[in-house]
Amino acid sequence: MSKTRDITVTVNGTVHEAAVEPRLLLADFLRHTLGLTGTHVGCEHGVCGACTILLDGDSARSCLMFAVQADGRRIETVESLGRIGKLNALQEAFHEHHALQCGFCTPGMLMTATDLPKKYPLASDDDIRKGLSGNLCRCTGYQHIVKAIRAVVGKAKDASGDTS
Amino acid sequence: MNDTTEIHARPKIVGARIKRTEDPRLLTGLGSFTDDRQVPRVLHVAFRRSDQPHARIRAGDCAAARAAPGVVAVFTATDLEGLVKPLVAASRMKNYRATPFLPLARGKVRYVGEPVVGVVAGSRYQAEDALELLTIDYEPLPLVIDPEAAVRPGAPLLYEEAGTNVLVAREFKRGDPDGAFAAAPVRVQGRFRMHRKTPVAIEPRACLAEYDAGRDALTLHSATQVPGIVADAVAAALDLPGSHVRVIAPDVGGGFGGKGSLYPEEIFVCAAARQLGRAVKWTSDRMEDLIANSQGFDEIVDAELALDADGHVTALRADVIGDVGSGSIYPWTAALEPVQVVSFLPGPYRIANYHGRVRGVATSKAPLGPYRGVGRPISTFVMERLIDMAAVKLGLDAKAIRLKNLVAASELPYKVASGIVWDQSGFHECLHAACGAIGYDALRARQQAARAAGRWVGIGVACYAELTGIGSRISVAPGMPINTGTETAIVRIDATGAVTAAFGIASHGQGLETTLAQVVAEHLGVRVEDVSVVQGDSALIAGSTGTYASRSMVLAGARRRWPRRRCAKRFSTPRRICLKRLPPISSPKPAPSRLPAPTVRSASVRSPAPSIRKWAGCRRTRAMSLPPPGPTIRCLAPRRRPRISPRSRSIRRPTKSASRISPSPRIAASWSIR
Repeated sequence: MSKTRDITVTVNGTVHEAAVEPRLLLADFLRHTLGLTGTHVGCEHGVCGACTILLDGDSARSCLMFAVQADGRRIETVESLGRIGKLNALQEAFHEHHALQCGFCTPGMLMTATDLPKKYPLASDDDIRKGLSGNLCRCTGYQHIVKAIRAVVGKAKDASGDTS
Repeated sequence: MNDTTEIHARPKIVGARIKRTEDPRLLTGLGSFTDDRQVPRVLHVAFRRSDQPHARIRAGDCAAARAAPGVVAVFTATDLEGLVKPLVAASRMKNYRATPFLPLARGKVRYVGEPVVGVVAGSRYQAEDALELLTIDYEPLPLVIDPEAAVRPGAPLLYEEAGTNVLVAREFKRGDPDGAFAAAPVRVQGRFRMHRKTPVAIEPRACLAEYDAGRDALTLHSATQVPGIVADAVAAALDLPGSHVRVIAPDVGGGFGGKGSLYPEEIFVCAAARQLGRAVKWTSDRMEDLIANSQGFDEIVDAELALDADGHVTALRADVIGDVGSGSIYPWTAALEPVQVVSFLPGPYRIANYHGRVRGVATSKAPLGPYRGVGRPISTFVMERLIDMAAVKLGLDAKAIRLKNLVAASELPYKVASGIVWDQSGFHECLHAACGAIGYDALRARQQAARAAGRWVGIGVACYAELTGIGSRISVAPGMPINTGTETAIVRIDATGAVTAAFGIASHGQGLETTLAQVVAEHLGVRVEDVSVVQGDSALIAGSTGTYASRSMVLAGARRRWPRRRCAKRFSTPRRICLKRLPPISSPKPAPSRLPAPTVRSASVRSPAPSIRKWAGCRRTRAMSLPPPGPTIRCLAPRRRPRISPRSRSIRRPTKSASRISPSPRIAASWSIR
C-alpha cells in the first residue's frame, strides 16, 4: 500500500533508522521491525496497558501510536531495565513478591511502575492502585504488584537521593 | 553433629517458599510467547468472520482479495476440501449428536465471529486490507438465540441433519423423587440463570505453523493449554502420522479454559503452511478473542428441594437447559458444561432421591467451552440458594441446616446420584473449622445487635467440594479419544550433572516450571537450580494432553511416586531414564473396587542412589520404551525406607513429615462419573 516514511528513533539508547509505512503501529515497529518482543500487545486499543513503554520518559501506549509519531523521540522498553542475573530493584521486587503469574502484562506493569514514582509521591497503596489503573492483569495478581511497588517506593524513600 | 541431625537440617524443597524460575525471563522481556517468535518469510493470516448469526452462504467473490497487494492465497471452505478432514468431538453418550469441526464455515454460518474466509498475505496489514475486498452473499436464516425457544417443536434448526437443536440430553435418577416430593412438608424451588462469560486471557490467542517439506512435518506454536490434544487433532485433520506433528505451547499468557480446546485457526494455519510451503501465523486481536473464543457457563436451571419438618433434605430435582452455542467444542463435546451442572448439583449433601435432567441446546453463539469451574459455579449457586431458602422457610440457622445434610464421615464412601463417589472428605470438619475461624456464633450475635440498631449485616454460608485432576473414566467412558487421567514424565541426567525433567502439561501462568522443579529436586536429592523443567511440547512426552481442570500438580506432580528403586538401578547404566506411568488399576495392588476413578495420593519413597556425577558418568545410553497408556492412576500406600544422601553419603532416616505429601491441598475426595 503505500509510501514509506523515514524515521529515526532512539530505542533503549540505540539509534534506529527505518523506512516505515505511516500506518505501522509503534507496538508492531518495536516488536516485529526491531525484534523487541518484550513489549506485548493485549488489546490494540489502549485498554490493557501491556504495551506500555516510556516515550521521552513518560509512560505511553505503544498500540495507540504510529511508529512515525515516534520520529526523533526517545523510547525505553522493558528490555532497557535490568538483565537476567542483574535485575533492577523494581524487577527484583516483582520477583520477590510474586508480582507476576503468566507474565504477559508484566512488561507494561514494569514500565508504568518505572514512571509512577518519578511523578507521584505514592504515599498510600491506593495511590499505587490509581497509578496502575491503566494496566490489566487477568491473573488478578494486583495485590502482589502493589506490594512489589510499595517495596521499591519504600526503599527509594529510605535511600533518598540514591535513585533518580 | 550426627548424620541424622544433619539430614533433618536439610530444608525440604517441596512446600518451601522459593522464587519462581520462570520469572527472570518474563521480567526482562525475554519470554517467548507465540507471537514473539520471529520466523523468516512468515505469512500472516486474517480471517473474514461471519457478521450473521445464522445464514446460508450463497456465494462469495474472492478475486479482488486474491489480487490485492501482498496477498499470497485466499482460502474458503471449498479451497480446503481435500486438504483438511472434518473432525468430530466423539462420544458414545446416548442422545448425543456430534457436530463437525471445520476450520472454515461450509455452506452455512452459525454464529457471529465464525471464520468464513482466510486471507494469507505478507503482513497482517495486507491481509486485513484484503478482507475488505471480499464479498460474501448470505441468505439470512431464522434466528436460534433463546435456548428455551430452540428446544420447542418447530424451532428453526442450526443443524437440519440432526433434526433437533438438542445436541446432548442426559438424565440422572435415584430413589423415588416424585414420591418424596409428594410427601414432603417443606418444598422450595427457584429458577436460576447463569449468563455467558468470556474467559478473556490477557494474551490473545495466536498460532504459528512451520512446515518442513522435506519431512512433511509441521511444527505448530500455539497459545494453548492443551498442546497434546491439538497435536492429535492436527494430525487427524491433515491425515499425518502423529510423529509428523509437533505442537508447542511456549510461554502462554493465561487461559482460564479459553485456550483449553481446539480452535479452527489452529487447523487453518497448519493446512495453509503445508499447502504454501511457508510458515503461516495468525494472531488474534481482542475483538476476535471476544467473539470467537469459547465461552463459559450459560444455563437455565429450574430446581426444587424437598425437606422434612426437621430440615433434612429428602429429594432434589432439576431441569437444566445449557446453551452450548454453535456446536460441540473439540474434544470436550457439548456435554462438557451442562452435564456437569446436573452431576455436581447434589454437592456434598446426603440426598436420597434425585432427578436431574439436562439438555445441551445449540444456538447461534460461540461454542461453549471450559471456563473456570466448569459446571460447579452454577450447581453450587443453585444448591446453596435452595438450602438457604429452605433454612428461611424452616427458621433454621444457615450453618445448622447444612450440618444436618452434609455427608458425614461415617457414611463414606457415599455415592452421589450422578455417580460421583465421595470416598474421603471432611465436610463437617471443614464447616466447623470455617465457622470457628470467623467466630460464627459471635458474628451472629453481632449481626443481631446491628439489626437491632437498624443496620443490615449479612452472613453467608456456602459449602462445596472441589474436584481436581479428573481421571480417565470421565473421558474414556463416553468414548472420547483422549485420556485425561494419566501423565508421563521423562527425567534425564546429562554429562554435566544437570537434570532435565520433561512433562506433558502446559503451564500458562501457574508457575509449574518452578513447582515441578521442586518436586523433581526433592525426589532426586538435587538442588532446584539443577533441574530444568520442560513442558508444553507434544514432542517431549507421548500421550499427554495439557493443563486444565486443576490437573497439573495432581497428575504430573504425583510423579513423585516414581519407581525409585528401578530408577536408581537404571541410573547405573543408561543416561536416559523413562519414568514409567503409575501402574494401572489392574495391577497386583488394586485400589478398592469402589474407587474406579483415580485416587491420587503420593508417597515419597527414597532409595539408595549414587551421586549425580556418578550417574552422569554412566555407560551407554539405552532408550527405553514407554509403557502403554494405563487408564487410571491407582492409589499407593506410602513406604518408608532408609536412604543415602547423594551428597553426604549418610544414611537418612525416614521422618514422618518427609514420607507423605498430598499432591494437592485442595483434594477432598476422589471421584468418578459413570
